[in-house]
Amino acid sequence: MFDSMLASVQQSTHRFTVYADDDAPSVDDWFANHSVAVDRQPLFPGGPDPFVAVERDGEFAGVLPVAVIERLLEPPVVRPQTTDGLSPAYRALFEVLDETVYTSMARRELLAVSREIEDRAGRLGTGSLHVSFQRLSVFRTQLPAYSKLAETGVAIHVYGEDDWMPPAIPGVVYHPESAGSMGEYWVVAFDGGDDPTQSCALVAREEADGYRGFWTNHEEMVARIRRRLETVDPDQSLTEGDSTLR
Amino acid sequence: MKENGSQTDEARGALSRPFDHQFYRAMASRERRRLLYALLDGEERAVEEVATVLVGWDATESGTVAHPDDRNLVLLRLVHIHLPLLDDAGLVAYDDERGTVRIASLDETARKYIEQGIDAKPESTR
Repeated sequence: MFDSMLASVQQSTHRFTVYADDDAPSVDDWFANHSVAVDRQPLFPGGPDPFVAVERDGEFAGVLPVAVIERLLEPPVVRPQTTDGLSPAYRALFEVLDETVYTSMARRELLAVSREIEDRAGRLGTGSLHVSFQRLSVFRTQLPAYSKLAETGVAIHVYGEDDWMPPAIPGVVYHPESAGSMGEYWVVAFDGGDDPTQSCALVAREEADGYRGFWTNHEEMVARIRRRLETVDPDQSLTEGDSTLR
Repeated sequence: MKENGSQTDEARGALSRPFDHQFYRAMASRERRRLLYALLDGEERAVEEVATVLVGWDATESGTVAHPDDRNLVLLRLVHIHLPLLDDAGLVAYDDERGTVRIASLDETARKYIEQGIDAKPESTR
């Protein structure tokens, strides 16, 4: 279903240089698993903590402390009360790693990115958020979080194989499907509401050794993802669904 | 004095009285202290690479992400303030045409001072 999209997303043109002590724990493997070229530069003792310098199309794109990357990827994703500390890092990681196809993504990484998308939707409290689960019964564990999210005013659309009848929640529309086309995908897409520049989405497919997928901040791409999802449940217009919920 | 190459005799001259006004001035800025510390291994480095390390140092300290503008500012300060000043003080050999820098030959006292200065309280980036 999303295979052609996965194929069309370009391979990375990013270059990552990991600055770290030789014996420091490192994030090289993580980048390597994501088909991203990594260089390594030794850091002198007594100098800075490990960090990653990023180049994009040959241009310097920023520096991410390894601690920040690890914090982002370690479940549970801890969010401070103020967004001053972490949010710029999340944003930068999105910018920096946008639309790179990753192989062997770990589940926790997908969770971290999913949380960022959900948080963004919750902060804005507008627009629509589309989320797919392998089976609707998986959504059970997400009920409290999504009930809260729906209270912010975000219209939520949940997709998944029809194996459970979830409870009605104001603001949440279910799109059960039985054709088995969604089962292997992990999709989270937010349209940004009144501000399409806040669009963001994650698409991943489960494979034998993890997930292969990408995430994006491009509103065009997010719109394409949403249109694909709409084909899952063509009988139910999403626009109608939105309006009946408010 | 250690034989760490002999960049310039001026450097030796300057550092034979290591705690003169120029040396203090050089060490008065956190960014310059870090720059000197990063060069202590004696390698010649591209100024841009040094800028990346300094930006990374700031970013890891504050736990934030550095953007391209942050590094551009550091580069500007390096090229227009720090490197000429340190070159004049005989502490580095700065090749502005090739855009490279390396530490000048330092005596042990100066080296030690740079190593210790790295832990000094951050007061200024200039």
